[in-house]
Amino acid sequence: MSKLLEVRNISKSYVHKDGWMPSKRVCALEPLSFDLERGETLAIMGETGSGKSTIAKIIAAAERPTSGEVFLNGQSLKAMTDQQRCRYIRMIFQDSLRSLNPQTTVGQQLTEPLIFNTDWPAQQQKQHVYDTLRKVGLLPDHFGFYPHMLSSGQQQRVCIARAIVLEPQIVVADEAFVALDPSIRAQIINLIIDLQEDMGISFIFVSHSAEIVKHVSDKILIMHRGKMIEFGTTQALINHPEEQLTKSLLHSDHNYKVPLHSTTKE
Amino acid sequence: MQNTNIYFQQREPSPLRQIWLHMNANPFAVVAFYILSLSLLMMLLSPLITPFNPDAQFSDAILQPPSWDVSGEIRFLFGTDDLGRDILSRIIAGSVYSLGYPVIAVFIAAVIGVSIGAWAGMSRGVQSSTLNHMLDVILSIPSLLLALVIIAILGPSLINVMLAITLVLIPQFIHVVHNAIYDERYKEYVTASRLNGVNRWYMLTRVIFPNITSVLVMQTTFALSTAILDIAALGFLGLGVQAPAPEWGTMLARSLDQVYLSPWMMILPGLALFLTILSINVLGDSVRAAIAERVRNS
Repeated sequence: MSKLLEVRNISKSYVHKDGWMPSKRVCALEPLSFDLERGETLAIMGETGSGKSTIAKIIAAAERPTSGEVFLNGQSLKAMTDQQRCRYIRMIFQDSLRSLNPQTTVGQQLTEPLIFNTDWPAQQQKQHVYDTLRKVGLLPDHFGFYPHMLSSGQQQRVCIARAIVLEPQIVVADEAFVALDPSIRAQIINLIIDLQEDMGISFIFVSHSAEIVKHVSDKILIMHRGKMIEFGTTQALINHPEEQLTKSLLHSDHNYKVPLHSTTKE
Repeated sequence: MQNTNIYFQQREPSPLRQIWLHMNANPFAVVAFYILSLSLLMMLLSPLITPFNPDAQFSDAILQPPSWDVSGEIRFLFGTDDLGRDILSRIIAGSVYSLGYPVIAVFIAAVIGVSIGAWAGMSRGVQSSTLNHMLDVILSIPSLLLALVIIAILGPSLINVMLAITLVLIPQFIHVVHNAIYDERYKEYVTASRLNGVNRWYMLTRVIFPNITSVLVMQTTFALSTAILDIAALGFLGLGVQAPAPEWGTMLARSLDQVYLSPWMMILPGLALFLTILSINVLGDSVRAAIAERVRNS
């Protein structure tokens, strides 16, 4: 059976232009590869600025990789249009308010992917949006709300609703649970686990919280300064971490201190 | 399905509605809005509501002062000019030239400028720059001077003035729309919409456009006040609308030699011009203030 998602040698570098000076290349992500099976959950952990969000964005095609390719069910994502891609991979952004259009209602924004990816009549689309809103713990009343009228937790849930409204195969979440309070976080995580059981979706999430990672993920990927320093099953990484950083990220849940040059393998 | 009764609000205040509410709280803006709507209404109904034909001459009432003067007559509310024409009728009929034509010029400039600006904003690289800077050379010439150049070549007429004003306004609209779209384009919600698989037309009209409406409204009011001033100024110089037509600037120019004998001939059209431009500027300014307020609060 082929892998659901294969990431092959993706890297990302930015070009900084500084007036007339020759432009500088800044490497945000060094080439890395990994695979993901159907129904698996992958957690990406690491320090701030270690390239976690970049991986998430490249997989969701919000950014283009400088080199390398991502394959979905053996098909290259590069060849797909945004429209084809979004039926399989959806993304939850880090900043929920900024990722929602301030001038349109929540309902319209949730209907938007349905207009372009289904041929359902308007009534069915609306019904589906109502159902999705219920799934993430909002009310159908929120259909007519504008994003600024919701609390940050509710905005987050709208973003999650937008990600699952098309029933994709992979959901990529970029620190999506930060703004939620613990009870709702648990609710959303249970929702995702349910969806995973129902539809066999795979879930990739970037997180700081060791508890969630331990609870949910099947595999963990540890990033450090744009490099993948460890990748393995949760079990293996918790019990036999090879790197000091992995240990400190996964074990000391609170007040851990990451030494500046912590990669022992270098 | 929706049980809206849980909430007290009858309708959700959209961000655009919030701007409107902010403006409603400012009495100057409300007054300006009423004055402008009233003069637009006056302009549209001008053939019906003028008491006399604006060109009709009353030989029995030459240089009649306004009706509130001792020697005034209620028949001519604002008095008559040196040829015995009713000034009230002339001011009402003149609003077509002084307000109607600028509105048309701004409308044409807005349609052309916004479409080119949107095209430039949605494309990237050389295409975007080319479209954006295509008409920049016009920006280097002040609108009045460009109008003078065109009139020097083609002769004084209203059409040439309109042409000049429209030409000058187009690049301003292009720049404003291009910059506004450019600012919005790299925001996360646009990326999110792109990942929803929307097409470019939907992206432009439904996703980005609602977010730049306020900027557009501001630019339109600014363009309108420029256009009104230019048409009046050229009329005053005798280069725009020609004499018998009751354009406000032309009326001002004609009254110049009798200003000591009959000041009402100058004051009344001047007042009309002043009120119109003031109300437009106040309105534009309060839209800007309301937007700033909303940005600060959010």
